[in-house]
Amino acid sequence: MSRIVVGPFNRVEGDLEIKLDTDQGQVTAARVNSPLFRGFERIMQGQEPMDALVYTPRICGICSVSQSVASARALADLMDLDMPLNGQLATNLVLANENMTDLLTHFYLFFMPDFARGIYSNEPWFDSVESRFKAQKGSAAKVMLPARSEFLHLMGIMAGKWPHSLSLQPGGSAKPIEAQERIRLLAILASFRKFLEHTLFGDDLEAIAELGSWNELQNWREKHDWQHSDFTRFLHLSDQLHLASMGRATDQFLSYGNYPDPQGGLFKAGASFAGAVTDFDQKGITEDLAYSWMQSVNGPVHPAAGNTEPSLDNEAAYSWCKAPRLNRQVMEVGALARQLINGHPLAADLVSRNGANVESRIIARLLRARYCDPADAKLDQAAKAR
Amino acid sequence: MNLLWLQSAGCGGCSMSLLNAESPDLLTSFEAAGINLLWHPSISEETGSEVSELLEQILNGSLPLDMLCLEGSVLRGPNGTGRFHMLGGTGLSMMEWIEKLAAKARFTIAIGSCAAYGGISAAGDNITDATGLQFEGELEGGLLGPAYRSLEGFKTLNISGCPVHPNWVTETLISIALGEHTDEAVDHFGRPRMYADQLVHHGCNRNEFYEYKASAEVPGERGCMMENMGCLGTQAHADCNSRPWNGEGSCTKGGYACINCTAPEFEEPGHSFTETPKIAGIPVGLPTDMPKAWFVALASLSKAATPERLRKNATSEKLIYPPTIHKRKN
Repeated sequence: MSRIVVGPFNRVEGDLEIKLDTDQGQVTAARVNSPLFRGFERIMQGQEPMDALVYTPRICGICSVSQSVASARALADLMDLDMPLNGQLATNLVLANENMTDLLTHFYLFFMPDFARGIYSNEPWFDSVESRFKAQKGSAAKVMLPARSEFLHLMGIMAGKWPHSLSLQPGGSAKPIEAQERIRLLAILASFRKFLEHTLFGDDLEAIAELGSWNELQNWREKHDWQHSDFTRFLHLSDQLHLASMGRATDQFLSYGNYPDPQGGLFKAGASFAGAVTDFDQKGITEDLAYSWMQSVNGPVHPAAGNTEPSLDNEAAYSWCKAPRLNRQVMEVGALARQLINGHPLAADLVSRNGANVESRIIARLLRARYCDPADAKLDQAAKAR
Repeated sequence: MNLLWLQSAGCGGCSMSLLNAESPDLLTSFEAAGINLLWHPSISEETGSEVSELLEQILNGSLPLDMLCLEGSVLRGPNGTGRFHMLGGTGLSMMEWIEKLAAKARFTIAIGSCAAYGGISAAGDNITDATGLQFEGELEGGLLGPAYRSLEGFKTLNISGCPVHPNWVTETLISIALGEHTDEAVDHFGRPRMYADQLVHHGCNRNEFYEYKASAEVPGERGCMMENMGCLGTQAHADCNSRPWNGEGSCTKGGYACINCTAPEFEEPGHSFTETPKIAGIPVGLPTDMPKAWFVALASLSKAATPERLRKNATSEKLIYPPTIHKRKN
């Protein structure tokens, strides 16, 4: 038996180390370790409740607004506050801006550059993929970075800055939108939509939104050369490298839902076991410390009852992370889980064919980008409601 | 110029902000300045053993390190071991890596308030023993100690902020690449004076409300946020309102208080961030360089002179009174 230790990792947010035990060419154990402990639970203890809005987003610079929204909602729950419609819409727009920015950052800067590595240099597609996606040098980043920055001008207007805003409050947004700013927002969204249609998808967002099955996706793809857009480039690479056969996990999915509005929100909440989507009770969520460098007081407990006492004494431990579970089960969250539980037919078809894998997760992420359009429509509603 | 970027106890938000650089974008800025990014955890191709080898080459002197950038504070705990952050795959704490690499760097640069002073990671009880590179809060020292000098003879540069404005970083790095950096280019806390010699108050779009002490009372209102809402813009060293964020933004434009995030120890203000502490109705923190007696006198005078337009608009979300139009003819 031998052990392989992999790290330092790149193009992840946060720290990562992976230890693999192998025996006769088979992996017998894999330990995924977060080698960094900051202890935000402890940093927050004893602070003024409203100051959670300052501390929480600083857990993570790439999902800062998600943390702001979560802490604002928690404070609203505590104070029994309802958010007015415009506050909800403004919060949703800011959150969607971050969400879509992150999908773009992940795809162009974190994910695709791996296919430009020298180990693929004998592949027939290599030269063109390398010139498009090579880390720091590829032509894609040169158009994506300015598009990303310009899209984030929405944050400048609606949240002051990104990351780490304080405009998202329990009762809504601290930033009223002026008439001039509403026009500017419409122009920013229209411009970003052009980037998505021209560079990422190579088709109208409506056409992408209509793709309802694997077959429809293949038919759409066959109409284009593989170098037609960055999406078709990905689909080609995914075929060539069999990405649909990699990265399978438990195929149990959890989505908390998101973008609430009076019509019930853009994404509904639910859990999916063996293909059936059901409601779930957040009381079933616990954090397991069995393999964490933490002192476990009462075994796995709900986060509200949890403790954070770092300790190197736990001999079974290999990570600073706590392990979140739903009813003691490992659940997959993220873009694919969210689309699947919300009933997106393409996501459902992809999962029924090959479960959650590298390919279906990336497709689900990119599908989210097409919501640029409803964001636009909701802005219009917000303006009319004022 | 070879640049190595490492991340320790932070959120990665300074890197995310750096990617927002415009006119020109980040990659073009680096290219134009002749900056060769040896490795950055978010955007480089090299991973695993390739990175370990690169770090070894720097330590054995075969690869020159011109600029060492650290984002995030250094964790010295538990018990001085640094084990709260091990650099994945290397078996060594990030604390040890930083100490060794800082000894090889021509310039050592803290990116963000965590790396500069400890920042948010050092808030609360600081059970991780988080510190900045050469400051621990307002006190010189930190990981590297007050005597540390980079190979070029400089203390650590502290591009503080939570996060940093992308152009604070690109402009500082370009000035180093141009050979223009001097001891006089930074202030007492090691911050580049290009942005730190200004106040957030400069260019604030609420300045007219400030002049008349016409104050907002709750989030969303248009008035000055100094009197009630904890705004430290009149004391905070940064150019956030004269050079906007994300195109057109700033904290005060976004409807919330400046929390002085470029300052050491901003993370523990001693009161709620968004409420102004007062004694006898007078804010405890006065505008920078303003004598207290004069502030009190001017504030009461200007409050008495507040035009109706500003008084009403200050506590409204929407503009109630536009400015009067002066006509020369009736």
